Amino acid sequence: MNGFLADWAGAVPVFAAPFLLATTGLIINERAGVMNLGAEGIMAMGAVSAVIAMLSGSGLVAAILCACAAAVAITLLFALLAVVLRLEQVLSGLVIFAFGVGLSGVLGDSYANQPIKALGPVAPRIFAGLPHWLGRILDQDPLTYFAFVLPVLVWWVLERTELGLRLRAVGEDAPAADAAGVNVMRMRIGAVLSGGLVLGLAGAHLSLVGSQVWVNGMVSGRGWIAVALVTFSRWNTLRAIGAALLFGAVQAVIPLILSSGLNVPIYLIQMLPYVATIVVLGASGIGRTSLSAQPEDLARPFLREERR
Amino acid sequence: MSSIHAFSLDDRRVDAGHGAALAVRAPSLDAIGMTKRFGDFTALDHVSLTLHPGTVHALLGENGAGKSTLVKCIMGFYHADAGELRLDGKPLRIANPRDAQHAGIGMVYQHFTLVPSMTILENLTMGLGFRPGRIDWRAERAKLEAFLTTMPFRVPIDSPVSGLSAGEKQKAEILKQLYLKARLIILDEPTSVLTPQEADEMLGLIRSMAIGGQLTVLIITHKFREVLAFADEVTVLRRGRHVGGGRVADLSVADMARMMVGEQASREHAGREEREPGPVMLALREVTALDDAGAPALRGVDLEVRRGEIVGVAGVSGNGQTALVEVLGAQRRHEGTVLVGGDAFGGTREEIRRHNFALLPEEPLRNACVGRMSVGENMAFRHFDRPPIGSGVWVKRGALRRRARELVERYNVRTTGVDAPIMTLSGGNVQRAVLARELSGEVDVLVCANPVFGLDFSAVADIHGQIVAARNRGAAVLLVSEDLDELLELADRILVMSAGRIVYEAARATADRQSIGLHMAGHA
Repeated sequence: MNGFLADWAGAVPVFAAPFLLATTGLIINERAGVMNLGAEGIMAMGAVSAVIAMLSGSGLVAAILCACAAAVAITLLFALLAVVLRLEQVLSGLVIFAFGVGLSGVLGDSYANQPIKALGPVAPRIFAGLPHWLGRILDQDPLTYFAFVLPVLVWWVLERTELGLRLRAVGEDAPAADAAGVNVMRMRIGAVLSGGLVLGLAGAHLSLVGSQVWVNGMVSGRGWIAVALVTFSRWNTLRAIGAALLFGAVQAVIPLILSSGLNVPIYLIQMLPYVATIVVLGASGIGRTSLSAQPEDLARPFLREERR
Repeated sequence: MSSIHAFSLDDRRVDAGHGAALAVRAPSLDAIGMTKRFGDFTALDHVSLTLHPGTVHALLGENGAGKSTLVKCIMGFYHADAGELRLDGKPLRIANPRDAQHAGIGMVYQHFTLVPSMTILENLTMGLGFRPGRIDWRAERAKLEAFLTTMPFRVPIDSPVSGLSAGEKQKAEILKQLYLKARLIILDEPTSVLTPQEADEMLGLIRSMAIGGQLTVLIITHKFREVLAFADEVTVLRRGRHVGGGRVADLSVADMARMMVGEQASREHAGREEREPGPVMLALREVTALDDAGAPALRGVDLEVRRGEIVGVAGVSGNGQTALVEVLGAQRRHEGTVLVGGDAFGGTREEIRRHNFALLPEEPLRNACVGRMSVGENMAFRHFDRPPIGSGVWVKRGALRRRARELVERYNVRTTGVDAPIMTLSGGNVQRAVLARELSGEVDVLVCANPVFGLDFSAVADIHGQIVAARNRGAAVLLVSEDLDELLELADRILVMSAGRIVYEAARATADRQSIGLHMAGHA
């Protein structure tokens, strides 16, 4: 059983990382007052672009850059709809979701189901002296390491810098931020694009580290789960680490149970992450006594009062 | 008054800089021939205005007179179609609010512009302009505290703005402008959310800073009392035109009022008949309710309103008045008893009809109308399901229109027709239309909230007349208002609400502004 636990623990960071990246990206969006429901589609674009780059003979770094570029490109469309044209953010997000998932399927059609050389652990030897299970946890690939560093970095920027102060002000009360001389639209576009870039990384992590292959529809709801995790982590990227680890743990246990030969219907087990999402959202709703941490101006387009 | 006007303007200019905590002198501003058109409508027609350094200048006018348009042109929110600005005699180009800020012109808006979830320290630091990288909060705090020691008033800088009182927020807004080095401040109706004492304190401080040569102030207002007590000069606008002004010392209230409303005759107030109040028609017993955030809004309200009396509820905005009106309109869940005509009242159509209950909530376009539906339909909300308009299944459009035309006529509602969407009407006319709907039948109980907020003189007189007339006919009227002058004029009794409770009661004869103000502030 020790082997089982070590296997499980060792797999958790890799499963948690895409959730963590996606949640962090979405928190950057939402703290600036923009709700991006297109996460699933943007992640799909990131995942497929990374695989296409790899199969076309580019290196890992180029693959990651490709994923980011593709994600930013489709996010640019979202920024245009939701921030510049001030369309309904929910609707704009759904459009991006459908568009991203669909486009990734088309682009990835001839690259599907072809294994790629994966992004692996950096330096297994360093951890040789540690207990087996601890070594398994700590020994990860660069993208996973980055996934756990980024939330701390983002937290620091949001809470400790002038840039973060302005970004939060835009999300809490855009007219007030405007009156204080902050360019609301520029701030929101910046937040949306940075968030999109991080969502692209989440997608790249899924295909480069996780599956190591492109399969149509492989994001399979992780983008939506990340949307829920934003609420669960109360718009705080440090809490997002805990939330992502929880979901990573749930997801990591699935292949272990399947391979252990336990006689449980496979569909029940594969339901676990989605059931966990419902439980977690329900739990964060129960016993909520303090005010919600949700940014006041979330999903509220900003238009400076101006008659024409 | 005489001591204030003992200074001449020139004395002050010489005096500027001496004893001033801020080294920069108060500037002068000339706005010359400012014109702004919106389509065919000329909101501002060649208006000129001169602010002398170190003075308080009042901009007076009714709603829609062009006051806001003028200052928005100065602040760069609007681009004037004609006219020019000069700061200290030099031409000034302002394309957007940031340019105004750089020129040292700041504005304190009617609504607050501090981010509620952030502290004053954070809010003020944010306005200082962008510096990349980490904020050294200790240095920022030291800088702000050093600045505050030079200021005549203090505010807590480390608690979230949302927890501050309206007066503190207003002071913080002013501090923000001074911290951002504004030397010319525009105040837009700054006292509408303050108690009389807070208003006097705040305006007194502003005035002393102007006299000290640190500030030039332009204050938008419609309160003569404030103009007389705190302004040196006044400019009066009417329908987008400059119609008068000058030194406040040379003008009387009657002069200014005449400039504001012109020669148009406003309708006489319906005279209040002396009458003994009748039986209790509306009673609240131990009513408690929570606000949207789940915090207590009403903490045990007891009150009674009798037939033929107007009971006024005074209070600073946000002390439970909104929840009180919502409870009476059955829009907010509550504990405790609401009795209308002696029966428990739950606000169903049946009960409203049986007890002839009428309600005029604040912001009626939002709270009592469906903006895209027609004037006629909105006027029929109480009666659409009864003859002659309703006939079981069908609504008879003819009868609906006929009735609406009759009400439009009788209540002086200015509209292009009864089929126009009600949202196309001006504020005063929406108010008249809703009042027409509510008062057209028998009325035994009438609840009104801020019924004349933001309306012009003739509409105010009209609506006050209707309310008093309803009282004279024997209605029990509960009038919730943030305007103390309105209550002192209309109410037979005044209750003061503070922190969700009725804390004070005064009869019409003995009510005085001072003690009501103290109780509004929760100080007595």
